[in-house]
Amino acid sequence: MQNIYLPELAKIEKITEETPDIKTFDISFADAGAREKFTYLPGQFIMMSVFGFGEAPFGLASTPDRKGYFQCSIKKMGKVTSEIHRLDAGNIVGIRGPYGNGFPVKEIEGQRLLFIAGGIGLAPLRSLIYYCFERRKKFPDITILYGARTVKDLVYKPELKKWQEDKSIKTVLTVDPGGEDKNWTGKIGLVPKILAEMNPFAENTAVVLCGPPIMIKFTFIELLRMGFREKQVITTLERTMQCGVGKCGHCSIDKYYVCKDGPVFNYEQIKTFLEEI
Amino acid sequence: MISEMKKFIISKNELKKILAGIVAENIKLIAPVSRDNAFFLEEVSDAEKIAWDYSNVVKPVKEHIFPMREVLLDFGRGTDPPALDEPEARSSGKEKNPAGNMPPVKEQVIFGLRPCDARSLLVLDKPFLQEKYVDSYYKERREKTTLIAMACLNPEKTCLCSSFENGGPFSSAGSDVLCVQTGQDEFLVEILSEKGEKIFKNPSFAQPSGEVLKKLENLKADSEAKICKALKVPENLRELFEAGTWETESLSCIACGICRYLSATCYCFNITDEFEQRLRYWIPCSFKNYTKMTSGEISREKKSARFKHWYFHKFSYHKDNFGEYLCVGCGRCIKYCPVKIDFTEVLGKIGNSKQEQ
Repeated sequence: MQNIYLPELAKIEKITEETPDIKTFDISFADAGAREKFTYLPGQFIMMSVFGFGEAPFGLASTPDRKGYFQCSIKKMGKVTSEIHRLDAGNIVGIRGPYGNGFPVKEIEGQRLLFIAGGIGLAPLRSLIYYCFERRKKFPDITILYGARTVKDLVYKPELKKWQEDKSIKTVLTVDPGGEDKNWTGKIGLVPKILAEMNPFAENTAVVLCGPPIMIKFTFIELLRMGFREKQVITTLERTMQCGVGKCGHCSIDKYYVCKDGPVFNYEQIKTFLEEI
Repeated sequence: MISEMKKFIISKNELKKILAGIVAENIKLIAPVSRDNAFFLEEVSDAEKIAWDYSNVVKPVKEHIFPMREVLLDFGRGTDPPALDEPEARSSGKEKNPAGNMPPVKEQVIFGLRPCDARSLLVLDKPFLQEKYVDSYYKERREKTTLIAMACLNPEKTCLCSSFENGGPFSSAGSDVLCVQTGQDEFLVEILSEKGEKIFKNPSFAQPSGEVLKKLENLKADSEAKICKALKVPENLRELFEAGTWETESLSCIACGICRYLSATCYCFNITDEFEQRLRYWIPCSFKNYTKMTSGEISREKKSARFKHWYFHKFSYHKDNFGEYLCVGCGRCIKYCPVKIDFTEVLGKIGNSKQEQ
């Protein structure tokens, strides 16, 4: 029988510096069978180990349509992420997963999509965004609003440029006041404020929201003000996790475990939680 | 399945002989021993060391299936690639070694645990074994463990096992064998599983007389009558989440975690790397760090929130997820609480409190 705590060895193929403290890692399993077998949904996550230092959960930032490797964008924050940032291409890490429910891709088919992300919150959305790009017939109307503190803190800059040039989607970028530089052509202002200016259609729209807690809080308030209903707003929750498989207890919120019942929830579900998110 | 329910009478010496036989067969025997004026379930190499005159052991049985601290993985540090087995070698060895890097587990017999503890493993089986992700470390030990429980003749003031379905001082739920001391030198033994049958394989034991069975009923009734605590979970517990009583009841709590560590059913854990090993160890949800995220944010920062979470996990969330309370009424959390918090009293006060909006 399978040992659920035993990671599969994987190699870091490539490292991209996104911002001063965020790197994107291209990772592929050392074992060809494991590489072949690994499939996931946008919104799912993996547990990554740096042996001797620990293990932590990371959202998958790549599209599952790309076989052979996957990507995680990781911000240097604590012990494990600092060790990951110290790694070079060619180094070995341990991977368990994928875990979690993922985004409700079938439910949002045919709806207008509004992606709202802040900072590194774009990483899990990027997985879904590319998933939708591959299936434009099912997702014809895509709007992306992405904000970061400063221009330097925007992730996936070359891709953002491509998205802006693509006339079949609408991409709005913003930085916090004071975060702009002299070449900045995007918006200046916090995400909720820019969202209000955009005044998106609420009807038949699914909102996928991910970012720092404070940004999520005020963006959600703004969405409700504009007539969105709770059910239309989907987000991913963050909790500390040890096992990733619903046993260790750390990520519990109400009767749910963020690792196996989430991390994706809509606000209609969140509203029923006894504890605040 | 065992052929038929088996009950027989055995003397203390015969019982000791059977226990000594277990040790002689090189099977690990865990039994109550007296140490530091208290009783513990520990490995014994000599059946004469077993204690018979105990009410209950301090630490619940869970640690013998789900140790307080165990090594999940072994790997070399600083080697590149890490000295975890090569993937090819690992995948070929997977079938042979179900627990991966888990050291081989010896068969073990746990003798003398109380019915509450035996039942606690049935409760823990659900999250560890009956979910999509089966915990192989737990499973391996669980399968290699035989439980010979000893019915409680003298429950303590803190006991409340009879508040639970299938619970009670004479409950056989979860046991492979249940023993009842029916006389100075007389035990009634009931075989409840194949595992239990393997231990008591001598067919020459005497069948219990009608008199003994009558005595059993009296002892059971006497024991049950001694249980003075009862669990009353407010039916509208979820609606009482915001009750101010949680705050006041948590004031005296020092968040030491004893109630979690000594709970027969609390099973939260941490996973941490220490040099070349990945360890798993128990962690109480009363600790602030329990919900601390890398960002520094703590989901349950307030002590009252951590206090309350334990009640909701045990008596609301776990019931929603697994159909039963995460509690067997062993009463250790009451008995060993350094500030004398009694969860049955807290639930009573919560039930009487007004819902606050």
